[in-house]
Amino acid sequence: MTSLGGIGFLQPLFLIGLLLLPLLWWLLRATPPSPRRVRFPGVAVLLGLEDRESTPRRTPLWLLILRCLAAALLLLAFSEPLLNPKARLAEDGPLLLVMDGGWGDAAEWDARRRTALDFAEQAAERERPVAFVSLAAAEVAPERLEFAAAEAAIELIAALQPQPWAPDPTRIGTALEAFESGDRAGPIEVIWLHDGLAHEGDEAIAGRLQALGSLRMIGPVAPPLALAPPQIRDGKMYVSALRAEAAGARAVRIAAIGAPRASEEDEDVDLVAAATRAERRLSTVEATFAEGALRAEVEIDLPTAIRNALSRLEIVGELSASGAPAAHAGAAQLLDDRWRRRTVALVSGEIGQESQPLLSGLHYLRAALAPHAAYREARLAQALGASSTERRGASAEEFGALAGWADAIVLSDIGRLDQETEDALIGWVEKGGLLIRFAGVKLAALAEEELGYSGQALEESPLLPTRLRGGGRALGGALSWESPQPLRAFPETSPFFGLEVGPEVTVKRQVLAEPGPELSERVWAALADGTPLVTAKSLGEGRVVLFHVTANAEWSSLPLSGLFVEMMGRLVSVAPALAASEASLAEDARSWTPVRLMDGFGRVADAPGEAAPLPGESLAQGVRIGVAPGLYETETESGEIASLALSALDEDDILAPRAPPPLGAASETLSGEGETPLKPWLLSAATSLLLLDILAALLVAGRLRTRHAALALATAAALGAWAAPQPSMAQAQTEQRGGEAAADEDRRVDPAEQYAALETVLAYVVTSDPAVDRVSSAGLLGLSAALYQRTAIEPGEPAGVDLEIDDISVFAILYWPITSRQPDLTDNAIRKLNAFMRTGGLLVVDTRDAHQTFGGGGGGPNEGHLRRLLSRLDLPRLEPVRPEHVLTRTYYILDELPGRWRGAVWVEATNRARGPLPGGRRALFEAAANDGVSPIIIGAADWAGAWAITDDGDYLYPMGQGGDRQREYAYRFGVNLAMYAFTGNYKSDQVHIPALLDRLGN
Amino acid sequence: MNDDAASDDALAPIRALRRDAEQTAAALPVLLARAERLAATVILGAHGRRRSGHGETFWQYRHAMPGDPLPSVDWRRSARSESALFVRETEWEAAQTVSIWCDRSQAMAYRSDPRLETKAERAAELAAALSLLLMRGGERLALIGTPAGRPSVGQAQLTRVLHALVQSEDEDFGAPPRFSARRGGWAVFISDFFGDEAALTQAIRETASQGLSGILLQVVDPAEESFPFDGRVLFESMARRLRYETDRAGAMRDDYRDALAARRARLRETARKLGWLFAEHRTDQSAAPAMLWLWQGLSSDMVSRGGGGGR
Repeated sequence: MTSLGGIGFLQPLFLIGLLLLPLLWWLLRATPPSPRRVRFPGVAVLLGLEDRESTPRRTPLWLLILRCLAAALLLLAFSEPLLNPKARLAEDGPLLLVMDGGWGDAAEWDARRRTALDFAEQAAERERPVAFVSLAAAEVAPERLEFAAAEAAIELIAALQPQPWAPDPTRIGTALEAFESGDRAGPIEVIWLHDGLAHEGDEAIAGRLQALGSLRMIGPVAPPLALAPPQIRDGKMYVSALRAEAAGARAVRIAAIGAPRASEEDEDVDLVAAATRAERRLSTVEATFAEGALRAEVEIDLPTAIRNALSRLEIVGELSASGAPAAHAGAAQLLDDRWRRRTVALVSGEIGQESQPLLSGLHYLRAALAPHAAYREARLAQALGASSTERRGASAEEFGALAGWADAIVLSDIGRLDQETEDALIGWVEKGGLLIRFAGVKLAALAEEELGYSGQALEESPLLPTRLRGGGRALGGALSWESPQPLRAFPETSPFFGLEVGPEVTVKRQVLAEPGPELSERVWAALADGTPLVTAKSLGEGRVVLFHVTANAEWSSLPLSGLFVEMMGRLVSVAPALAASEASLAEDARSWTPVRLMDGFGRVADAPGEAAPLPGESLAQGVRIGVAPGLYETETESGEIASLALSALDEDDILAPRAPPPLGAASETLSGEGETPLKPWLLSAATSLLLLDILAALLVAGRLRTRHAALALATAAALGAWAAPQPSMAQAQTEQRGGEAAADEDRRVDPAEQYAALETVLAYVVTSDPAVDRVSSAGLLGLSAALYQRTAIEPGEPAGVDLEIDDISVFAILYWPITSRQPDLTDNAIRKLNAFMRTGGLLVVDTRDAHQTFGGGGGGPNEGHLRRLLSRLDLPRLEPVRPEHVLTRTYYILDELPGRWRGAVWVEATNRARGPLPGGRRALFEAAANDGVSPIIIGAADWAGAWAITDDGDYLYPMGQGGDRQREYAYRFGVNLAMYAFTGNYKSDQVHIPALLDRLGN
Repeated sequence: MNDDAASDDALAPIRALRRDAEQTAAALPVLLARAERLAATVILGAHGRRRSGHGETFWQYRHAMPGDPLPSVDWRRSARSESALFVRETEWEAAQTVSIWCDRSQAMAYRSDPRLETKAERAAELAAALSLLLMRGGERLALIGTPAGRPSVGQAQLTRVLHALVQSEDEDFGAPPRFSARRGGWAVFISDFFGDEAALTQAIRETASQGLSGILLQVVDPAEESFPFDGRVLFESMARRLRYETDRAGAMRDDYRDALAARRARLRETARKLGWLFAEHRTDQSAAPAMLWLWQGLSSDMVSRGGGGGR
């Protein structure tokens, strides 16, 4: 095949025929069209006449051009040109198909697989033996390459999926040796579909493949992008996108995906919690490659709680050359606890230091923690420090809440804890919490007190890393000849190891540890004279760390120094020791069980049951063949679960472009589009031209009469259309279908209506205000998403309806925001709305102005328009929603029905509101029409505003007074609303179940 | 089987003959019917032969006109009147010989539009109608150049004429054959006169020189007058013996019309000099006016010559 631009020719020899065109030109020019023969007796009269107008007998120029063009088109057509030609096999003999098959291939997987299949099928046609090998296949490296019938390879390729790891070209090295040693019949044609990225050993293998016969390397138009694992620096999270080729500036969008926890004040633990924990896109950041840069870094700036909820990052919107989304494992990153920003709870026993901040230890702690972690001050000082017994229960409860969100707790000079709090604290630490304590007067007093009781240091407190000696010591005081002590360099076992110890840090006073056999290994920092400054011990999964000085500058200058900030940073970073670092994995003998694994396309799914656990040292080597990226878990000694996220790329990985193929090997680019044969088009064009030529010849011969000309032109057009490429030979069917289509035309339904009728669709009334319509659309989208997540209702895309034009009978719910700009309704719209309400539709009218009224009681600016628009509707009597109304309990039990604002909601008045029935009977079922389902709900709370989300899943509008809690209630109202519309009074009927059962029993 | 084939071969000429005969026989009634219809229009219009002429039965008396020869005066009748002289006219009874030449060459088989009759059909129709009228008038009739070329009277001669009329000749263009006739007879030539002009003029002169009066009726197709051709055309005569090719037939139209007009003018001039009549007839016109003209031309001339000529 010959290729010319994007066009290839299957029969290029025909193109030589184009050279004959000048000859044809000459011939045609010399051969005028044949005359029309007429039998005419008048010829006798003519005989004597001289033909004065005798023109040279030549073909007119335009006819010449027409005919040459037709001939050229025919020649072109027979050379079988193909647009975007498929790669084609060139030679005979055995064919070796090599695919990378790693995540880099996933970006344009369909195109790759199609290309490979094409090759295999072509080989099958020629009955060539084929061997297929994927360099990333999970199986053991092949010892030999078996050439077999192409059908086997076709089956292999058809079933092939990209692997989430990088390929290893060296794997086929041994297999190649067999051929290299001369054990082959002839030259082997090798085709290597690669991902455009450099892999270890690919150049050498390419050289060896080339030596087997011929090598064609087919790569993508551009190698894929990848995502490096994010890094935490100074408490901020940075993520880098990588690219292989230093091209021009380019922006990449990176989505942060996670399942945010329900807010901590949300005490519901039912379905809601589960529903709201579904993963969604929490943020999208844009990283920009500078011109020529291979790495683009961007900070993911999110509130701590949300950042901690992130489960993965992925590059979104990357399009491959063929336009398909290029999702692959290299562009996705799973996150584990290592990337969480810690939250530290600060608890101080100091009393009344607020007026003198520089004396408060909290001040220094805040300053030291700010760069590394989020902190919150817990107001437990009195509760934890005081001995007042009536507060005990409360403090334990409060502490329980505290432990729910804190990764580390700092207790600054807190002495005795009440038993309940201590138990809770111990439990929390044992689960992996980090407790950092600072000494102080109270702790010193505590040690003194204990000593006073027994005369000797008592049992070691579980919440202190070491036994303390009473009283502590003071250095450099007026009565002391010892000078304040500087720090000794940190021991290697300490997490502080490596930090610079300056001479400016001196300690004047400290609490002393009782010497013991285990003390030395618990010391993380010590003074120059060897007395411990920081001690730590493990408690369960967690740790207890004690600074033997205060958090303020009273006892030492440590809190004033930069060292303190760094020490706190190190401490915070070790905080939950649950997440293993890869460095420590190397000597980790535990086996890690894959929980969630990523496939080649970067999709994360629960690991299959047969996924085998892997030893820690295996994971430490990173993702490679057989070790898929994903989330691995292991059980620690204490029975806790530690998790580790493995990503396709390591932190220090870079992407490099594939080296150019060895000399003599062909390098091609994957064509994204399927090939399009141009032959039919050219043939039909040539046919049309030839038909035109017939007309032209008739014209020249004077045989063309105007009424025949029109007919002939029509025939030519029809023939041209007929000859135009229709899919193969299915013309009869096509025509038949055309006939059916024509028949269908009469009863054709508007596709939008069809969609609305076939799907469950929430609809809103299109007002004359585009801004309001956008909110309605976004709001119903948000509600649809909530319904989809939480209930069995699975709505489609919301639809906007124009009351004047569209058929509203196909919808169940119609949300109608009232605006000042909507014109009065026509009679037609009124009729449709009345019918809609009569036949079970639910009209939700929202004036959206509760925030502009007093107490949401109505009377807002849109009320006039509400009256104006609804005045002609056939409305029932209305009443405010009563607490026992079905709307408050169709799905959730709700006290109020808020949107962005809170306000009264009006529904159809029930019989009870209309007064007792004659005879004093109470109606068993309240409202008669529509089974008591109110056809209209009127409110002012701007529900759509509360529900509104963007396509990315972000909320569009802030909530009014109630914050996210109110948004949750707004969603619950929306769910109730949908349930009310779809299930009616089902819930209120259930009220009567006991009575019914009772009656059945009797 | 072989016998059948052989007998087929032997019978083939007879079969062809019979087929031709049948075709002819089929055409004959058509021709006869059309001729009768055409003749009827003439009889209704001019009352045929009931007029004065050579004969023995009294026809009418009329006032003698200056120039009437004296012997023609009927004295007995004149004596009964006071002053006027009467001439006694007898009804025309003398059998005249009318020699008709109807061109049956290939050129006559032309028609430019299938809705038209061919020139040959129209010419045969006119000739047949004329023959019919003449036969009823008892005139001697000859269709020259055919088996019915000997002047004769009666139904048999008419049948022969009709038979001859429906047969065509192979000639491309026709020319009146030589024939000898008694003086005072009539010659009626019906043709398109597209044949060789010199031969035609020669034939007319020779006929006239035998003392015959004559009528020339040129039957043409409308296309032969309008020349509706355009573009590159190869013109062929009906038997393809003549050819003429032009690239732009449209440009030839005026020349052709001029040439045709000149040809007619020459023919008309020839006729005028010899005292013959000349008329043109197009096949898209009704045949009746041409028939009437033929008949009137024939009889008026007979009257003028028969009465006036005194022969």
